[in-house]
Amino acid sequence: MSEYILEVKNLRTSFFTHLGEVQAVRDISYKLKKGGILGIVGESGSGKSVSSLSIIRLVDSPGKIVHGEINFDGIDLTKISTKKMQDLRGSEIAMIFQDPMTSLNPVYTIKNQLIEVIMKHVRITKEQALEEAKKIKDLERQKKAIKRIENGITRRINKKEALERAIYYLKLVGIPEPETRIKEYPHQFSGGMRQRALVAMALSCEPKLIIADEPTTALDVTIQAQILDLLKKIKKELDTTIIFITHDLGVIAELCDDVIVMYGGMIMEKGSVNDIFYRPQHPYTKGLHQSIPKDVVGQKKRLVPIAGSPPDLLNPPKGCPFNPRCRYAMEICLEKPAPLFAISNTQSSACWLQDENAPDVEGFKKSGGVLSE
Amino acid sequence: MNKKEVLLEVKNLKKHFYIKKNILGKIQKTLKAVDDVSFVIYQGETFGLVGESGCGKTTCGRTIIGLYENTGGEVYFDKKLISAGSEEYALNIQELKDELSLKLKKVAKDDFDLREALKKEYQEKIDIEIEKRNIAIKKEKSAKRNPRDIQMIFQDPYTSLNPRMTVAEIISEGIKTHKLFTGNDIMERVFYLLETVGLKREHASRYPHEFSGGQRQRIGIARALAMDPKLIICDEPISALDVSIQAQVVNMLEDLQDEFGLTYLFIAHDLSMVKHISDRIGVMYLGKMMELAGSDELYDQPLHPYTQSLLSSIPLPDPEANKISKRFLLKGEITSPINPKPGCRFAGRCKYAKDKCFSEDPLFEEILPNHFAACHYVKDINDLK
Repeated sequence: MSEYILEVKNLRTSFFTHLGEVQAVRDISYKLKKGGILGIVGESGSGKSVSSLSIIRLVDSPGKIVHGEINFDGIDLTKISTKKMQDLRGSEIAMIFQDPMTSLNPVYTIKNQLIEVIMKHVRITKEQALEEAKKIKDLERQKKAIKRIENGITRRINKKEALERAIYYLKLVGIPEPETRIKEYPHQFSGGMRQRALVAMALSCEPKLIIADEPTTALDVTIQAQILDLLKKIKKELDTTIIFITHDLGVIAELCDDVIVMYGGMIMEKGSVNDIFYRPQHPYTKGLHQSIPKDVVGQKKRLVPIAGSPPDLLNPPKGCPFNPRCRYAMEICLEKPAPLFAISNTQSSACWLQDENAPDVEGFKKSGGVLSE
Repeated sequence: MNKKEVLLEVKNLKKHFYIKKNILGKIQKTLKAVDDVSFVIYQGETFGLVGESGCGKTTCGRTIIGLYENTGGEVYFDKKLISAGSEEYALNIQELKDELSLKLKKVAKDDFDLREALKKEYQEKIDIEIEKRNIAIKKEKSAKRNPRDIQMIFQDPYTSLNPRMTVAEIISEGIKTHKLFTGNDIMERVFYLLETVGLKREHASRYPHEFSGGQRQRIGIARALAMDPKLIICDEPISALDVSIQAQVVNMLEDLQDEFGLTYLFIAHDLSMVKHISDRIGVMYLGKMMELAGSDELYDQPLHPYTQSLLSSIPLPDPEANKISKRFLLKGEITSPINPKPGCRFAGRCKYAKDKCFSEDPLFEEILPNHFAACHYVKDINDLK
């Protein structure tokens, strides 16, 4: 098995509206190593959410994955049936959504909703099943059962076990008195607790990959700090891979190991968190850094905003999507989107300034025109 | 720091909402959104108001401008009283009367002496309240606001502009109402304002839906500027915008301040942006002001335990700094402002809380020069003399 849990290759997702094709994700590729947190950062309309909804195949009509491969643990998710995808969703890939107020069903208790997920996806382990089989008195039937188990077929978890498991995970995410609180309805939970319950729901089937789509944006800073702390703990203890989508650079710096910067449906730059924060090589990434206040006590620096506004995806600019707002834009930028040039082992930037024929601009490192794979 | 002139003074401002009344109209549940908040804003400065959702910062702004009537307290603008409230005294009187009748019920009917004593005692208290109420009503009547002086920029640029009006109509509405300009001058003024906020003349005839979020917020700012205000209340003006657009709007607000000598009350929950734009900052929690200081000082040396944990909760856009920075994680969440218990509002989440915090309201005092905080044990926590 490869060291990558997820490989996205040339993914394109579009929405076919009355006004025309909205190209939300335009040809993105990346690989994700096991057991890290990948941050995807971008502004609204940059395609960060749609790209991850494509992974879990939750892009609704009129949206469609037009092109590309998504290899998850050796399976191409774009090719499997809806039924198969439903089995994977929740058990192998779980999702945490932005708004904890609307992503829980208000007419069911937390218990109902948690148990439903667990009972649908979780089977008991081989060891447990074997132990159960040994208790069967009829030798003939016992043999058959053991054979079935050895073929990898075990029974689904039952309601009692599911409840135990649900309570265990609620405790893990820090909900006080989970035994009694689990019987409550979502409206009886506060915003932070609902988000914790959703995290518990995502964890409960022990998925290999969790996609968190702006899970802290709707929360207050003090609650956000609690949830980030929880995700860090989960990463350490459970060794799950997490894709974390946000527009907040501070959250990325706090939590993530690797970062992808998206703009206008394309990847602008990717690298380790230190690359992106201390050695940004793309004009857009640099612009983002200058747009947020980093004042030192006693001196105020004026912010340097990025001029203009984000592109219209119905009618995206030709070439690099950032070219109308880029102060370094060259002729080639208006013609062709730049490929990802490798800057170091970990970092690559989609900017023509990295090409060997490009002029030297201060503050940008030259990659020598090596393309990233 | 040279003493500047006070532009806006807020004195013991209270805004209560009555959620539940019984059939007799008696109030059973009170939401104390703003409860006894006082501060001043100096001419030409930016005063930041921060806090978590539900802390009353927006209500505070809306009460100052008069979108809500204040329950109690006074607001002075340019040393003139612009609004005052008397409702709290009426409620106090009601409460005293209720208390009296409750006590009377417990006393035996033939114990005339005790009954008389009780009645007399309460009547005295009620008289004091009535006196206060009469003064407050007089003040309320004398309060006069000039609606042009204070303007507001709203949070959501998508809902705060009327979709059926063109940009020119939106901006000129106030000009026409107050008859600031007439005839062709109105359109000239509109064009001038549009150019001031970085839009073009030809945008005047368009409708709000044709603009992006950042541009809409610019229209909202132009509408506020049209009145030549002295104070602009910015209620989360950038929180609905993208990062790269936020910086554009913040820079523009700073430019306008220099050009027109504006004063801002900047309400926001994005603490790093508030620090960037404000000269002084007030931190609110559940309707009370917790701490107030110059922005550098507040971030450098927060005194109140709430401010300390609030500031340490902000993730910094700097991975290495995050690793070494200390976190004071808060337990639990903001409690309900409905019928709050006596004592410090923050006591339930505070790690330093002692018995006194649950029974007695802390006073909002000047702990260091120009640095106020409301905490019983602020000196012990920070090792101050």
